[in-house]
Amino acid sequence: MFIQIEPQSDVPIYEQVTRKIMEGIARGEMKPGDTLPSVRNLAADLGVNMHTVNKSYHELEEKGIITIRAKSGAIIRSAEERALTPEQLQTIEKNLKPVVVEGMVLGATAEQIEHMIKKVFSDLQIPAEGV
Amino acid sequence: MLLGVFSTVYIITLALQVFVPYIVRETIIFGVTVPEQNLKNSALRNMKKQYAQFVGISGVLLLLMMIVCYYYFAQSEFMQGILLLGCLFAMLAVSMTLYWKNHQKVLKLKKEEQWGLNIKQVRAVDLTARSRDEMLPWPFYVIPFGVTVFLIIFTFRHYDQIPDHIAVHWGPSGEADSWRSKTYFTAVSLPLVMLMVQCMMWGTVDSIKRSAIKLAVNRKEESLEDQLKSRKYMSWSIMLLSYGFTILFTVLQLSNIYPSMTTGTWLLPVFILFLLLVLGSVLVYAWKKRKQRVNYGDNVVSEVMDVDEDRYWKGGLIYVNRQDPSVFVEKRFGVGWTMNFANPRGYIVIGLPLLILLFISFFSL
Repeated sequence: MFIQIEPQSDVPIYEQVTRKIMEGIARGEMKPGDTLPSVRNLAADLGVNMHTVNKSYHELEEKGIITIRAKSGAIIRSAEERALTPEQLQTIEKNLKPVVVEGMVLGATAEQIEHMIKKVFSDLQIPAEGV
Repeated sequence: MLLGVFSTVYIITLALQVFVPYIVRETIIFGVTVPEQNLKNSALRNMKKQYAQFVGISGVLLLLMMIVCYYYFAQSEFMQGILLLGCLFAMLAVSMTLYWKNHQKVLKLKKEEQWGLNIKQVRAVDLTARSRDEMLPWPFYVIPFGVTVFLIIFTFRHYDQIPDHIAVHWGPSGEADSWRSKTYFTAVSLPLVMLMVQCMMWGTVDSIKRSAIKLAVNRKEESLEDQLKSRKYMSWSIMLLSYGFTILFTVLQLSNIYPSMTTGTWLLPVFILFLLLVLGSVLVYAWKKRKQRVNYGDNVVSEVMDVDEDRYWKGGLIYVNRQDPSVFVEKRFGVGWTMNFANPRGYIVIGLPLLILLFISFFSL
């Protein structure tokens, strides 16, 4: 699975890595049980500091998406293992709120925002090359 | 004999110099990153062609001059050495000068026409690439260490039988021409040099393994294939070199312990074989690189390009990038890999053994 990073973007690199990996899982390009490359290797391939990748992996672990094991590395958890908890749902809502608010202030309707969310869902379900 | 061997070295070096612009990544032209969107600029194509022609013709002229001078003017061995090396360096100087001129030209063109100014730079990575990496595992490079250790023990056990003078240098005819008096240190100096070279080779392969698998963002699949193969071939050729070197030095060391081995010039074929191995592996590597090179048929229509790393390449030749954890990166103008001079790891795996090697040579050879 390919991921793309923009070093000059305003979004910090660790966050870009986190997002791309999540997208890969959502799209089904990475399956539960797949291992991510080691922190050292991914840092080398991206040409970034090891801490950057480490930060991203820990973020993914905190979100309950991967498990980091000392020997076998970072493994993507299965759907059952990452069953959605009420707390996680709350976090998602919290993160979504400012975006929706921004839309409201600018005059977007509930339908428009709903449509956008549906669009994101359907976009990710069709495996597409390197979006 | 000397002329024949040297001419071979010269011709192969010349061929590599001539074809370098056609072996390196197509998006790197004379050490300058050119966006795929501007690749098919006719000025660039002409520059490459002119470079190849000029270096080729002047290289052949120098070779002819070298051969003529060798037969008519160079009488002593010293003069011959000066002549041969002088011609080789003159040829390299011509190609480097021309490289430098073209490097400046491409830089200017890039700036004037604002190449890549409005193109987003991205870095692509394949998360599964590492599981497909086929570089040889480390034991292949550690086995020769055993030979060296055995040789050192063997030398000490046969210390009394070694003649009082130990050969440390061999002339072009394969006969020893420089000796040192026997001490415990000079007796094992060859195996020690051998050990350092083996360390450097292992260190190089290990560092390449830890270095980036760099993809071309608009040609991901093809460039991944190229990268995986380059790494594989590189690890094979370094293994061959390491084994070849081990055999050569083992033979030399044994001939020191059993001087009767060196009667006649039978060491010569060993030297020549080693030379052939070195040159052969470079040629095969260059050939493979050329064959698997990612080709851009036309100007690429894309919103993105690879990250422009020109500012980390001093003169387009020396890589200094503090942020990059890679120790080795592929050369931008040349065949093979070069060190990231901002990475301290490189100084440890390459610099330290080299320093010890120089130290041994200085005090014993």
